[in-house]
Amino acid sequence: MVLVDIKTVRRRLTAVLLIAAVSLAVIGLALLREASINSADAAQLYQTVVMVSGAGVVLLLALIGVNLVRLLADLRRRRPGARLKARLVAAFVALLVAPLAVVYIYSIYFLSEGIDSWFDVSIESGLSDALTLSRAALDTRMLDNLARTRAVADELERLGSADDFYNELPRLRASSGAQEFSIFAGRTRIIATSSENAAGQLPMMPTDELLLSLRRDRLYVTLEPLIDDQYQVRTAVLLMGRGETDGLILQGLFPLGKRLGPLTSSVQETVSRYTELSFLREPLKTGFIITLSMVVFLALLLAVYAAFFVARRLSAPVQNLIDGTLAVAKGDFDTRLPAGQRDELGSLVDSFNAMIEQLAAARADARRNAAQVENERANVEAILARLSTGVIALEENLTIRTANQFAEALLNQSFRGNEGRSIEALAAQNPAVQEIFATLRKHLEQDEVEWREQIRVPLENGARELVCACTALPGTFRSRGGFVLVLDDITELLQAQRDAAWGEVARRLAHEIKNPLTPIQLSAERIRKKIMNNIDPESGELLDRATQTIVQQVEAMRDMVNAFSEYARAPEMNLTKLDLNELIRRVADLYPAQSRQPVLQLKLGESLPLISVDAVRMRQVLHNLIRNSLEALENQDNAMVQISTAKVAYKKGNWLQILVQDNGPGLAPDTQGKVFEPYVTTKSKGTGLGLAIVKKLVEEHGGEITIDSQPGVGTSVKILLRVTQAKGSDSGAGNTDDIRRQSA
Amino acid sequence: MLRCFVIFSIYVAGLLLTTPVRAETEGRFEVVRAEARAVEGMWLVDAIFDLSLDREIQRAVRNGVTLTIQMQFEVVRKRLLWPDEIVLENQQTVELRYLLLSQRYVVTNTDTNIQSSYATLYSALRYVSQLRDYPLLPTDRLKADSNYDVALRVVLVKEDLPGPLQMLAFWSGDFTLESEWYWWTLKQ
Repeated sequence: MVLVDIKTVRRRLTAVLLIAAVSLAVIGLALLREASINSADAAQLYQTVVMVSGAGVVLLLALIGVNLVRLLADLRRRRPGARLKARLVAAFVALLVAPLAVVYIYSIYFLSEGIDSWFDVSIESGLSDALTLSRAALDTRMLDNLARTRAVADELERLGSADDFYNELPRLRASSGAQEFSIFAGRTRIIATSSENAAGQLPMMPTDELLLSLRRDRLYVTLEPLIDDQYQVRTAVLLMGRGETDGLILQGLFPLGKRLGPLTSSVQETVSRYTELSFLREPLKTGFIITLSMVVFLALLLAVYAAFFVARRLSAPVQNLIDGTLAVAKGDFDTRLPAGQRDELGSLVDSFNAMIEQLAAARADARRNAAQVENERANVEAILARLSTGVIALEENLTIRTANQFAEALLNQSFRGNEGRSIEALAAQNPAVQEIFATLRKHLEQDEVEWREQIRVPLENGARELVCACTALPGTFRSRGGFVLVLDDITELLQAQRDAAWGEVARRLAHEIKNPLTPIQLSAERIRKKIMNNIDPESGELLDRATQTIVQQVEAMRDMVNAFSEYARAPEMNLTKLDLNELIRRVADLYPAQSRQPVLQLKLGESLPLISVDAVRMRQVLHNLIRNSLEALENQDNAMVQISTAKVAYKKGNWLQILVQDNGPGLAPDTQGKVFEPYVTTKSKGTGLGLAIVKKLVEEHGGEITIDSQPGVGTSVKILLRVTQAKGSDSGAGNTDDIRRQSA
Repeated sequence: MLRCFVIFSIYVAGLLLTTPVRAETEGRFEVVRAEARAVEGMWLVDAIFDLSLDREIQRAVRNGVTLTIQMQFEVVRKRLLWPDEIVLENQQTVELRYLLLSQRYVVTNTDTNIQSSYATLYSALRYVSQLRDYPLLPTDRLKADSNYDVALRVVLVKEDLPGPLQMLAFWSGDFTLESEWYWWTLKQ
């Protein structure tokens, strides 16, 4: 607001100064014209002219200076439009100055030539001849008058007396045609005088010039101008008398005559006038040139300022357009240019404003669409994040575009921050990714982009079975848009299928095998009982051993069938909150320390929360694991089994970890992944169902079990059980439901 | 190029500096002496001037330009505490011109219309430079108990020059001729 006010004030001040400068210039020019015409007041007018014009010039110079400084500053700062403005100013000044200079030079030329042409050589010559002729005529008259005076002087010299002069002088004057004759003794003493004028009037006294001439030449004649353009001839001679008359001065005054007088006056006036004009020719030319120069200088200054003004007016819309374009380039779509005049530039400004409005609308649409896309992307990301399926998006050049959290958790590989990196580079650090990359490359080499394959990837927790599906993303006609790899962890599914199959097998085995066992056993005992007494002792002993063997084997088979039956059986879970450490201590108490028995160490964590488990099943889990370890440590020195518990954070929750470690011979690597499957055992005796049952029971509790074994070092079995939240029954119930659901 | 410009600038500056000096050395108006005396109830002034014209003005006169020479008088009453009072401002004007036909310089007193002619410009100027018995003012116009100073100067009246010369006179000092004020006290 303050800037607007300052601009307005500056604009008004400039307008006032400009009006003042132009007014002063115009007034100065008008006064100059008046001074050139009116010679009477030329001096005063000239002073006024110079003051007024000078003020105008100073103001115009100030305005031009301000504009010039501003333009130079704009040029130095490389302000948009400044160069255009400078070019316009230069062009206008050149356009204005060139014709002005031509007009100025030709004006001076014509002025000089025109004034000179007024003074014709023939006129000058004619006037000079007239002057010479007039002088000759006047000289004749003057000489004639001098001769008459000399004749009168001769007459007077003959008289010899001063008294006779007084008497004879009127007659002699009348006869000679003189207007006045006077005789002087020296400068001031009048001896005698005779005049046509009234009596009593003093005669004209001799001048110094006359006396000097007489002293030198003894005679004097001159043509004297009188008032009212009249002339008279004054003559004088020295009298050569005797005695007192010697050295007297006779002065005569002769009128020029009625004809010659006006002619002389006329010639004098004309010649004087022409001579004066001829003399004033150069000053007149100088004056006109100065006047013309002042006019041209003022016009030049006005023209230069006009050039600035017009350049500003013309460049302003262009400058606005440039400013507007720069603003738009910086992203300011609120810029609107002031409406221009109804010309091409005005149309351009209108078009620019319309374009900016369209751009602003387009940008708003783009922003809306971008926001929508962003929302969609966020939704997709949210969906992907919650998917229990790993999704990895790759560019066509097999660089990472994105991946969801499940893929990261599944492969234990962080993809965030690795966008743009090649999957091959990640594969070198991660065996799981390496497996996926190998599969992908295999299919790509066969030019297959749509494929689905089950692969087995090694992970820290053991190998996992994944179904890897690849789909090509839509791209341009020249290139693909990339690939999407979808990873489904089917390890649990396969395990469940396998468990179900084994459960069915166990159930059938139990059913089909258990039934004939009792008749076999009874039959064997009956045979023994019936035949034992009827045969010789040697045969009886054989029969007894055989029947004993049959009975024992039937018992063993019954145990095995019972174990199968136990495996297949899925009784109702009876969850109770208990202290896991206490449960472990009770189970451990069943394995008292004995010689040649492995040491059972407990390293139980403190302040563990209560956990909802089925105590019977959990006890069985512990028995199986302890028994497995003890069997693995048979006949080994320094054998040791350690059971440790701890509270750990896992999968965004609190879990209790049970670690059963031994320092036994360990498992072969190819066996590790299969130890939880039924009928897989490394022992010479046993059903191979121990760890399978353990795993089944742990999973019924919603827990996880992993095994890590290094040959020659030992084996470690880790069980993770989710902690039931003790503070709220809801969460506990929810957890129980969750466990039941998983069990089911 | 720059060297030429510098030399040209020095030349122009030299011309500008020397021109007024030349003009002042040739033409001069000065009041040499002036006095006033009371004769029969009238203060009469006698004065002697030193009048010389430079060549340009002489050339102008010989080419028919009439010069107007003015003797300007001021009578001032001296006051102790108040500004001085100008009692009288007066001037005597004479015109000097040259007649080509008769080849004589004519001096005309425009106040008295008395005219005299001279063969030389020197004689004409000599006549003008001697002021005799100029009636300044009646003696009774002055208070007996006051002191009066008289100022006199002689000037060439530029306003009476022909227009082109006035224009030239504005830019050049050739036609600016005026003496300093000559002050003296009236002795009553």
